[in-house]
Amino acid sequence: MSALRHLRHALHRAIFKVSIHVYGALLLLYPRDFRARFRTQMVGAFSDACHEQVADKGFTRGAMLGATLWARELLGLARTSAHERLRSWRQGRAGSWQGQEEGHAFGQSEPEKPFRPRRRGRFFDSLVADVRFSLRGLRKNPGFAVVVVVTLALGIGANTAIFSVLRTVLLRPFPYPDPDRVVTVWTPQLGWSFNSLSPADWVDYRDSTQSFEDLGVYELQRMNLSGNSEPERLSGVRCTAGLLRALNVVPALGRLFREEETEDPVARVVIVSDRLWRSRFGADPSLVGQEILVNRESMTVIGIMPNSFRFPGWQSLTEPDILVPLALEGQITDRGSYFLTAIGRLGEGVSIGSAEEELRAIAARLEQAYPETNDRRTARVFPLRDFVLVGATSDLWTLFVVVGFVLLIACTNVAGLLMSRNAGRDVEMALRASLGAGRCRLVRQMLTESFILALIGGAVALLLAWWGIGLLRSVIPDNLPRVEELSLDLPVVVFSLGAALLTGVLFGIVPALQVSGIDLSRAFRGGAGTMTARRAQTHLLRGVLVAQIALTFVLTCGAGLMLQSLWNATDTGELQEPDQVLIASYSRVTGEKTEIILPDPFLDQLLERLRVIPGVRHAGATTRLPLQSGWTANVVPVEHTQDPEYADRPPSFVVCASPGYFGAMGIDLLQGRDLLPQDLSGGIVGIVVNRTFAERSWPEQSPLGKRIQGGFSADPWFVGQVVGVVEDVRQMSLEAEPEAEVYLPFFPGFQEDRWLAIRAEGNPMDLVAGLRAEVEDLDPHQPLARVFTAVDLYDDAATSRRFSTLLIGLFAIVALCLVSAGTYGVTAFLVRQRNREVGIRIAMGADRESVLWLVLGQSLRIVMAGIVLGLLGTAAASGLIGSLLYDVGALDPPALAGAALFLILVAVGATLVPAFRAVRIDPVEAMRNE
Amino acid sequence: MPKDPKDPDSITPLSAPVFYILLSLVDRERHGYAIIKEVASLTEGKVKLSTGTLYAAVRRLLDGGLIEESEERPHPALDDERRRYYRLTPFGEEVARAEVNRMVHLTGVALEKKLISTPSSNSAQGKPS
Repeated sequence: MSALRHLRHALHRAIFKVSIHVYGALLLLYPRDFRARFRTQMVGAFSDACHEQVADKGFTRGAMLGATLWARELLGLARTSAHERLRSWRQGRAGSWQGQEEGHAFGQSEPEKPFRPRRRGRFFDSLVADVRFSLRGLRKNPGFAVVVVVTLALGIGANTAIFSVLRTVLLRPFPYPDPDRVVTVWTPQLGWSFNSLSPADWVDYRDSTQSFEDLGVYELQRMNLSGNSEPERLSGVRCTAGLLRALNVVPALGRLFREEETEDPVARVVIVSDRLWRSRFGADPSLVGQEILVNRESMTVIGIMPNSFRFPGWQSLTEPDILVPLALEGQITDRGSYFLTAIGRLGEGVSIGSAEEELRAIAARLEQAYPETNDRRTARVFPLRDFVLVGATSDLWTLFVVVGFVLLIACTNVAGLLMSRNAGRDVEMALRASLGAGRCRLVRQMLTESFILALIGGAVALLLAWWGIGLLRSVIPDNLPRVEELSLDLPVVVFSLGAALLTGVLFGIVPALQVSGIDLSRAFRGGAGTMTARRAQTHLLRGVLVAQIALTFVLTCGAGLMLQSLWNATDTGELQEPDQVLIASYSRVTGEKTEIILPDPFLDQLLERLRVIPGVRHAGATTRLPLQSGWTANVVPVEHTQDPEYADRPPSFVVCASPGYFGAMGIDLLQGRDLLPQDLSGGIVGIVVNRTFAERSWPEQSPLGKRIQGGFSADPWFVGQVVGVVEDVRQMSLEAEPEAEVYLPFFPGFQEDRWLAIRAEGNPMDLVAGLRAEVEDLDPHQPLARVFTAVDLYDDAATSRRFSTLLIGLFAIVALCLVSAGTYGVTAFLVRQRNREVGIRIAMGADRESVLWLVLGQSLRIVMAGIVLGLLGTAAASGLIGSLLYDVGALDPPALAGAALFLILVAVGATLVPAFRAVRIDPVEAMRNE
Repeated sequence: MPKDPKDPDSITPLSAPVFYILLSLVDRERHGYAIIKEVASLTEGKVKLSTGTLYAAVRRLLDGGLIEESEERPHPALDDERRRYYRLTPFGEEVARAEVNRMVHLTGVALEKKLISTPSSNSAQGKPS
């Protein structure tokens, strides 16, 4: 309870603080001299008002009082700041006017002006008059003003928040000098563009290319830092000297790698990040030159990166803890393993196209020289953006489109509200027109009103966005690069202002043109004359509502489909009882890179000890968990090594697993048996394959006993015999189809990651202490990284999908609220318009039920038209919607039907109140009023 | 021709916020938010000034010499250094009185014309259409 109160208190304080800041910023509306005199006092008085009127009033009441306070303050600010600006401008222009002005300053009447000095002054005066007139109108009808402002604030606020994400993640340039020249190089063979380089290919490209100022490669790797305090597992980068030069980074302290330090054999040197330097070494500048223990080797710290340094990775731009030189050693001649990512800086004036052309020529030479590995292997050059922001770009733009929809709905809603309000203003407008106001002048007056509403809406939207951005920062997925820099900065504020002005025109222009275009004589004559005008108005209003419902239909349908996709994607059915599985990881550095079949006594001992802990049912280990992508290689049935069709098949995922892993992880064994320790002994190793591998390699045959080998050559890196078949699990991501996969019973030297899977009898988290104790007992220098369950593994993989589903769902709810408010407003208006008709019907003996159906039928017709239009829209946008979905089509009939039904319910709900009002119409009263 | 700025009658009629602000300062000096509260209590909550309206009026009242900033400050324990205290000048008092006299005169006219029956009747507040 007290935690809740604490939280509420903190929330109140935060809102209070933000309010004061926004209020302070809004005072910029006043001229400088006014601010110099009163700013401090005004902020003080406003904060007093907040304290006394809003604080300690409970959540709902406090929010309502706060909204009232803000509405009053915003109106006051808008009105008086315009006045003060005008005064200050006049004072600056002609001191002699001051006396006259001040003589009238306290009165209610406008000062008389002896002459009209310039056209600009007249324009300004009439503008001020328009503003004052509009404000007076709004104050007379505060309910209307609040509804409009809230509607607009929701629309503009949501857009502003998403735009701030878009700007931070996509639009801001990368933090490297001249970032457009930084590119990545890949060597795709079939299909998939982002295929890493093999060490031997890399050396050939490096030595032959002329297009790059600097070119380097890297490999990401977890590293262990040990020494005097607790061992720590760090994110590390192994890279060449050229890579850091290509990024053009400057260390905060010390220096970067020299070329010879990253040549073979590499120097024992290390560069540490600002974060690590501060957290682990207390920001000690004398760290440069000292030795630290990385992967149990003593290395000399030669530099410390600046705080702003970010390393470009796949879907990431993060700060790695540690940088060490890349050692290729024995692998330097390996042309068949692809694990190096190349980043280069193009030479001055070299385009991506010409660089790619040059690399392709080199690739063609390599293809001729090494057909076994480089057959049809080509080269691609991509801007850094395509690599770092892959996936994020389309997702964010889609969100932006969706949130644009919400704004459009808000605009149509407000337009509808304005039109139904203006319906009563025919006579007023006609009067003003007959007194000499031109059409242009009338439109300007109406537009002034919409601009004022939009600007107030925009100001409230900024407040909402401020709050929303804070919220976004906590729910946004980690794989969006640079979200930690998310903020409400000047361009975002400018965007919000621009959006407000644009919406002002958008929702204001139609009602303005409509009202200003009325027929004078008819308006005055009233009765039959206005009927046609009204009919036109009603048609337009209905059209606006139809458009709104259509947009909402598309959004609701999309949200429903997203939810269905999230449901499908996070289905953990491929694992048995994933909530019983504890996962932990560590890296085992052997220093032995080339040996393929290498004993791992540490792992064997650890597993043996874990299996006897009470509460453990199974324990096993692997190099890659499901959903973690990983190492792929060509694995073929021995009888097909010469088959050209097999050469074109995509490579299989290769995972190393210990005996007991499948049982622990909950992967079903379909045929044969689990891996056993004896599978390693003898020349032919026992291997387990997944269902897809078995079905692709030996359709309609038993895979058990078949032989497979690594690579096509006569001297394969392993030959094995299939001893078991297991169920497929997804390797790449939740959305990807399972690929062919083989499980090897050994852990090669270059596979340093170890993932432990432990199946518990009770709560798996209860085993953590025992696990840590066993690891520490075996090797006190071995750090254990984050511990979680298999359910967390699937949950984490769904973060970004959950994020977009959450946002689109939220936007759909906002749209539904808006559309129900819109339907209510328009139906109420239409009922009011038909008062007389309904009165006559009742007088003629129509029963109440038929009146109810009259009104309901009217809005049902509108909803149906909206739904049909929405269906067409969904069909048109099915490509875009489909790109966001998983395992469900964009035109999924249940989703379409559900959305339609939901919208009908919402519309009927919103129509009921006006409908019952119509039922209760007193015929005598209705006819008299007309 | 500009009227004499020191003639109280040349300034009336006053706008409602200005008049209420002057009234709130008749008995004692107050700071900004205290004026807002006093005006609200004088009008039984019907008039709630926004800070913008208040300080725009305060600016005009200060420039016109109807109110002035007070040098005296309350006990430091009750004080807030952001606050400025305002009080009526003798001229301000004259203007307020002139406005009241104008209203009394108007009330007399309304009584005479039987628009209202007693001076305290609330129905007199409606605007003539």
